Amino acid sequence: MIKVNIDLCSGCKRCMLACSLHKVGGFNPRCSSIEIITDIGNKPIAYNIKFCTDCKDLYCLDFCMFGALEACI
Amino acid sequence: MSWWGRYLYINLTEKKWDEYCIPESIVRKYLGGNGIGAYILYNLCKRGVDPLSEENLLIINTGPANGTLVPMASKFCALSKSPQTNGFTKGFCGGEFGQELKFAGWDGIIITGSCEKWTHIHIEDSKVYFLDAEYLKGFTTSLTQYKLKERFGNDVKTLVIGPAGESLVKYACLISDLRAVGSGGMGAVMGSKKVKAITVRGSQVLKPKNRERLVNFIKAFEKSVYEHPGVKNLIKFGTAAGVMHLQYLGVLPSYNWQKETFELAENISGEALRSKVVKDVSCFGCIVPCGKYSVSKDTFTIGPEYEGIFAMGTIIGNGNLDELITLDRLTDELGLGQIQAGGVVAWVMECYEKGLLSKDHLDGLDLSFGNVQAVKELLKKIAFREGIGDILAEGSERASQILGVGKDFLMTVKGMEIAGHSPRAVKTQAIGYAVAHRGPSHCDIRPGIEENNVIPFASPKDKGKISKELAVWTSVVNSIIYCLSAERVVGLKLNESILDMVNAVMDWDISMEELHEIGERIYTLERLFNVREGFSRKDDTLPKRIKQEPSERGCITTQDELDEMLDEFYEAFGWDKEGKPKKETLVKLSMEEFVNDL
Repeated sequence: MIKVNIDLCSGCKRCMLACSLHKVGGFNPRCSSIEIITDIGNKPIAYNIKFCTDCKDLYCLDFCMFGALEACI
Repeated sequence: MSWWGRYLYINLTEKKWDEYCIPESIVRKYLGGNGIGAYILYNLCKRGVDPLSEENLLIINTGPANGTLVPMASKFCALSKSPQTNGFTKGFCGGEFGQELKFAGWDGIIITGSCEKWTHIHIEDSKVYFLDAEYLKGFTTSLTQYKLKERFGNDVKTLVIGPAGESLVKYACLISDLRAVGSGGMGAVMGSKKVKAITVRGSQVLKPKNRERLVNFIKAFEKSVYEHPGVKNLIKFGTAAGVMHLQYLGVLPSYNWQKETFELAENISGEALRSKVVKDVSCFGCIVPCGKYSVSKDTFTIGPEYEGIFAMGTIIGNGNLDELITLDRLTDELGLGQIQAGGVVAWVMECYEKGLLSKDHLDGLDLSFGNVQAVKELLKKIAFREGIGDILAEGSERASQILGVGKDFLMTVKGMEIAGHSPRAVKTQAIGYAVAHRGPSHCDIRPGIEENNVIPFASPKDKGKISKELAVWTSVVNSIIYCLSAERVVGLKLNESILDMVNAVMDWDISMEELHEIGERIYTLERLFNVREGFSRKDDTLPKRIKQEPSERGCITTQDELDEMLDEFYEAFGWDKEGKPKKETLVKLSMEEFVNDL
């Protein structure tokens, strides 16, 4: 399962794009297991893990440049 | 593919929409964003159209890199015929709207016609709804967006206008989240069409043509960005990092450009702004969180960016950071283009201090430099066209004609107020303001190459040729669309890094020469649009003050110097002495279809 540290997150949502690329071979954040919820100023305020398959590739971690994601067993 | 080749063509008068296809042959010539937007505008917007009539077009466009994982490719653009310059205009904006448009299966939207009542266009993949927006009339941009998200869900992406766009203020802007398509008056164009808001939500999957190649490029690019020393500064201070740098160089404009240093610069610098920042935020998909989410005693904003600090700070004599954040938010909430609004206010202030305009003319307001409370009142009057605001909503040049004052210190080119980089000292910027097709913008021919001492500062030598290369570079960058804030990292001219990006995103194998030609073609097409509208060398000029009054460090760009640089610039592009593209230039750039328009 993926955990997100909202304090470190910049709201870029690259994890969502990466997850989408991994799962469906293309980009759309709605296809991602991770949902970063931002306010009107793009500030991350919450996150939601919807149906993470605990894949071993951890594409989402790989594309997060802020160290905001953590894989927990 | 990372682009669809499909545009949503909306005719508001008939309340109909259709698909407008762009074939790959056009993509190969104009790339996307700026390039294809200019191509569509040139072909669909007839000569002499009134910018605020239903015949004008508003084009919202994306670039092939948007919506992919390419870092810093987060912006979308808008193009139209400008109500302020009566010529070509374009503007760029960060956030999430552009990407969402692509996730809905569209590269862009082309809007023509107009509605009778205030309308909200909602796009849900291939479905388009024309909804009533009378209930949003008069709302600020944030309130409008909150209402829309409340009704349609937090995941819809929004593009709206504020009261200024509704009142057809000539420099009204478009707002998406807390970000703006600032210059060009496209808020007024959208207002003239009676469109208060556009929302979009998409469920299409954007599949890269060559996934492995794209991912390899992205990983290498991420690394090179983070290894660059300039990125740390950008992350820490945002574009506000430039304030003290320009102050030390003596090129920080203040008091309506009477000076080029500001005694209170430290108070409103990037370093000072840090004390107000609660979060560093990124645009969608960007690895450089240069957005400074900052708070003042009564509001919050993203920024202010350098240009906001210039427009709502230095040129109006405001050195109070708290008030600057408030004014930054206020202009966006009202939907006023910030650079132009600041330029208009600064011009009024100089008129007031010189005794040319009194309180009687200004609805009782004391518009001395630095009086921010009066500025707040004036901005509201402009946005709602109340009292003196009705005249100032036309821009400073037109206001000067109506009121019969202040002609000598108008800081305008082509009827638009200039941005915050000195054309006295930065010669590439002098050419940039003079020739920019969208009015005096700092985003076509960029000032960074001189401000960062890559080439000699304050000398006109070779600046015409260098400016051509800068124009070609930004034309490409604005078409694949990645952010110009990354210029120091990715390079200040066309280079291998940009070529690799284009080839990886498009899965092409074009050469540097071909990429260069694309940039030349796009810039020349914009020129053709303005030539068709009657623009020529006489319009490629600078404000009188820049040509006649030196700055404190002794810099000035005289008419003779400008003429010399313009000759060199036109020649480098293959244009004649009047700035009109030559027939052989069009043939060389494979633009034969436009030859008959000359």
